[in-house]
Amino acid sequence: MMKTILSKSSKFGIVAGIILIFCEMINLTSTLAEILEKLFTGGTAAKNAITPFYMGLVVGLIVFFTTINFLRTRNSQKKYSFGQGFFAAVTISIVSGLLISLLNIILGSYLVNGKDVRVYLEALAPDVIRAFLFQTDIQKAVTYYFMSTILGSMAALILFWISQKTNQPAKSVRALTHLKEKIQIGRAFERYPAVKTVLILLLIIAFLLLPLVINAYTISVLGIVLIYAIMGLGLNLIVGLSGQLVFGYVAFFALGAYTFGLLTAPKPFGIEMNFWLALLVSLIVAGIGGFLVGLPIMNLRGDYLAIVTLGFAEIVRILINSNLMADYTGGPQGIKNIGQPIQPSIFEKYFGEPLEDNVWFLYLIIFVFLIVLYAAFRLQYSRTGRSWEAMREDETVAQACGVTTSSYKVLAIVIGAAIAGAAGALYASRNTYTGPSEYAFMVSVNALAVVVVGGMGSIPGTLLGAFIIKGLPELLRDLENYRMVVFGALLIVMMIIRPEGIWPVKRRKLSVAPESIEILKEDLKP
Amino acid sequence: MDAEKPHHQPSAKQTVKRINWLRWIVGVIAGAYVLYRIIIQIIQPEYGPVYWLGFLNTGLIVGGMYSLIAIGYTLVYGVMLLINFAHGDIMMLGCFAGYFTFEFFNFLKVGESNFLNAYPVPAIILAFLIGASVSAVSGFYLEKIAYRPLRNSHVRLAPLISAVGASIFLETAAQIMFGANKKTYKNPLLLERGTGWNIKMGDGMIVITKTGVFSLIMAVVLMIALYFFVQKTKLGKSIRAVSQDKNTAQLMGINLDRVTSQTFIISGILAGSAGVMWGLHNGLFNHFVGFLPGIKAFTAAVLGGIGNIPGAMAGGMILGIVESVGPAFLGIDFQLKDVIAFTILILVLILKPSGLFGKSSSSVEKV
Repeated sequence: MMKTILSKSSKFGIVAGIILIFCEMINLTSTLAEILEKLFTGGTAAKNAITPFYMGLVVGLIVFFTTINFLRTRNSQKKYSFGQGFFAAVTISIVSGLLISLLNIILGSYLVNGKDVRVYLEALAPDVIRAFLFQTDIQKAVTYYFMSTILGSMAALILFWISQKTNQPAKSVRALTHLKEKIQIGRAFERYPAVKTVLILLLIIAFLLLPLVINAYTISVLGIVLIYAIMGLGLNLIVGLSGQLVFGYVAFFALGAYTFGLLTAPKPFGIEMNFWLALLVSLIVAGIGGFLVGLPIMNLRGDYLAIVTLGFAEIVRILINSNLMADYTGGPQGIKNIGQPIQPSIFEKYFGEPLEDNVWFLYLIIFVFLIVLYAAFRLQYSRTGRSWEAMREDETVAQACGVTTSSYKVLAIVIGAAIAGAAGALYASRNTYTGPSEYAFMVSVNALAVVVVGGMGSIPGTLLGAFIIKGLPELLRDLENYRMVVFGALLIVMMIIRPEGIWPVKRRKLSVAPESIEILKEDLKP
Repeated sequence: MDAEKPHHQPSAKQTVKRINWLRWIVGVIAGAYVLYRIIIQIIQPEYGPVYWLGFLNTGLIVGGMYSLIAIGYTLVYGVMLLINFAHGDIMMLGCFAGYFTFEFFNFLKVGESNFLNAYPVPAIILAFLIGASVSAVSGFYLEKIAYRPLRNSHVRLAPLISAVGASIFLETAAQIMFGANKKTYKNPLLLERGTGWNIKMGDGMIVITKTGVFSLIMAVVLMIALYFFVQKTKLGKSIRAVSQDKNTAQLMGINLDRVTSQTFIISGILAGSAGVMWGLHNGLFNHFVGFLPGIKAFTAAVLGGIGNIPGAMAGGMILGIVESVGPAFLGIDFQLKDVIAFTILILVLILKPSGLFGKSSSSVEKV
């Protein structure tokens, strides 16, 4: 028994140690410690002067979560006595402490000998290592880390034991479920539909007044978030509703942006078309692009679509960057001086003076966003939307129920691509510039993240996702570098724990009104 | 009750017909263009035969690496029906492992010179072993962490999205850890990059580089070894059995979990070796090195019929050659080399989704 506990817990200890080492190598530990220190003390902590307490806190937290995880998974299979749990927790903390101390001793010896490890490990600048080692005091650092791993695992053990003894979910969780049952917002909406309408109207009014009160920086962040929300709504139709993984969504975005740029910029064609007309044309062009991509693959499994669209996106990116198309697209320089819409004089009449340019443009984005939002809602609950959902759940059954899957697949891609085209046009017009570097692979990944994190097929989820993916990194500037790492890990964890996303779709349930049941009973009486 | 008219929908037959029309149109256009270029090349040749042999040489070398990576895609697809999107990043890890090994050997002093030049053959063998084992271990854990919990997921796209997540995670973690700037492989003097044998032919000259020859031989040896491994050994047989029919294979006493893990280890070994070769031959690399070869190797696997191991080998070679010959043949900029590979992918999926060497019956699964 003790032997199995030893081997299992040392395995978990190694995992915790590897996570710790990884976090140190990408310099996440000290960044987190810095943020925590800022958060608790309210002061400004410099990277090379982090209080050891906060470093220890971060290390302890990682070990804490690993130990809790170990106790939970093992306890469901075999009940541990307190002594056995204690033994396991100590093993985990010692193994992970050993690993992290080993790293610190190695790094410390490099530092003492004056070697710069940045040649190979870029994140580890000398002052970062000094922060890990509490100003080159290796012995102190090692004891400190050991203490924090042991404290972390002990805290986990005690917490776990208390929750086991009470044998009930925590009080707060119970209170929450209780509250949820009491309030039942959904039912209130059902009973008084006017409440919902009024609330939505209030929300829209607040949303419309928002640009007038916020500062320029927030306006620009909100603009980006909304453009990503538009893209997310389009991609949601393809990925979330029709269940096809499109991976090169940026291609359609780029098509829209470049079409808009070519139509409104003074160079190279000098058409300088009206904003709305150009927006419409770029929408149509992106839609045609979607049709051309969707056509060859309409009878293939979803995975192929992912790679083919990825290939298509690369083709588009290489072409707009190449010498071949440089006369039209400007090559690496891109297109400059892209047209912006002219402000109608109504605003001047009502407000006394014209709106600032960025505020006016934000209103424009909001306007397009609301149109797309409305269209997405209508599509989701239409015959088409239901066909898409049927296709997503089971293609063969959908086909048997009379859904022409191939046409509906292409239709989803065309509509999604057109929406991306509109977003691209807005983006190009907002920046008055478009260049090939803006259409990298990462844009597709971000758009996909918006959909997946929020909840595939859920419109409010998509909006939430746009805020999380594009808005939060702006607020948490310190963690900017780690966004993609965290996001990659998040995708995996989310697919395992909660594949339906943060704000999943609520299935509409068919129900029969109680009155009609009575009528039915009357009818059925002999 | 007759308010709702029957919705007009084309029958399945009509849909198939339409797709056949599309196939014909695309096939005829593509074929006509290739024919036109052949005639042009015959009437007024831009490049002499020496150039063509040079392109072939480059193509074969790159093709060998594509083949090795493509086999990984095909093996995993056969066992799990999953496109292992992170496969290119597994190759990237192998490339990094080889780089660090060579750097270490470069530091290690042996007498007057360093270990790398004193004992080049053991150094290269060790680098390949370390690269392959790092990739194999990461492939093993990748499957265990990111794919195994999702095998019976009710969300259809879950494994693929998880694969994408793994790919992003590996790439960005490598970027933060090792830096975004390009690094250069330290080759031993025995395999100096850019040197080789110059073969005079007529008015021109072909340079056959040492690293190129080495990579090609290594790739071919690995491929032959893999082929015998899959055909003859017990594990190879069980991999084939699982890819034919999962349930029956389990009934015959094959441990599905173990076979899946071992498949990932094998594909990791091949990808890691390809990564070290890539570094030895091309020199420059960074965290993004796996992205393009990964997608192109996938193209190669599709070209040869996904799930088909000899098909993946041939597909990689064909793709490598077409990619290096293509720009000169089609008379386009060499910048657009990558476009050719992706165009081939789309053309194959339109014209023959089961691949060049795939049985047409296997297309039933995909179509």
